[in-house]
Amino acid sequence: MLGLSLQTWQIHNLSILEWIIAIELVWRYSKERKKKIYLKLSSFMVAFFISGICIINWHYYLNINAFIWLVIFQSFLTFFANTSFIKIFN
Amino acid sequence: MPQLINSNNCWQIEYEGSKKLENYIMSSLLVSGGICFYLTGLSVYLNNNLLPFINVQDLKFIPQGFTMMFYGSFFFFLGFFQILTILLNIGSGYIKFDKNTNQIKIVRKGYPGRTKQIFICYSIKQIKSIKIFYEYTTKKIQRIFLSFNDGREIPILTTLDPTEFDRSEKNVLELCENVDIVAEIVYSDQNIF
Repeated sequence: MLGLSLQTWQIHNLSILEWIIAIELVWRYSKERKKKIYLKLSSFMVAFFISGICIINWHYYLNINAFIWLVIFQSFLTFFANTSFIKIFN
Repeated sequence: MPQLINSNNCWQIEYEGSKKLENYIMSSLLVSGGICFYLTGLSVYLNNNLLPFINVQDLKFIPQGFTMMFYGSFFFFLGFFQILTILLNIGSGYIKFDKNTNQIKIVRKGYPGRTKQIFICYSIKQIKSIKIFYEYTTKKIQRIFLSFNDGREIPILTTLDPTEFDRSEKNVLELCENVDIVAEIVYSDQNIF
């Protein structure tokens, strides 16, 4: 019925939840220390979050070929966020 | 973008309501996406591809098809509601400061029912000040409030464009000078940068 086993689903969902908490913590740190670079960091962490949501949806729909664009979109978002990290920290 | 306009001792702000390009785009996206989601869920239920460009033979109705139909109908009704809001032009109206009669009139359009037309009239004596509030969090925002003697505050203008701040502040100060209201400029103490 579902593509993955219960344990795999649990670890996937918990990592997404953990990532949301990490975004919030980085945002609060940037507010506390008044550093704009961490604000940018937390904004680009949202791109990774969206890519995680995409891939979880693809797993939910049994990895079928009709939704392969979700994987392509996810890889594009990951590429975009990674290259933007190079831009931020230089 | 609404602005404060002066014409023979009357200062007026026109609100444009929800007839905006971004609302048109969002509601059409919601409706078309909702219909596509619903048809995909229905084709899972019927085991028959209703949409020609998508093949969903492997999916089962519970849980995948049901989820698609649920979200599809939800998006469709949300978009339909937004289209109705655009057609009725909710939120359009004006606020008028009249020096001849010493009155402030607020006229706005609401949802059909008891608040179809909102019409509020205040005397200028009831008003303690006009408050210009600057907020520099991640974005620079200027908000202008009507501040009353009993502590209430009504937002009348929000500017998001930093190049417009000076002009709207100047207009509000000119209005306060002519109508004898105290102007108050407040900078938020939660500024982060």
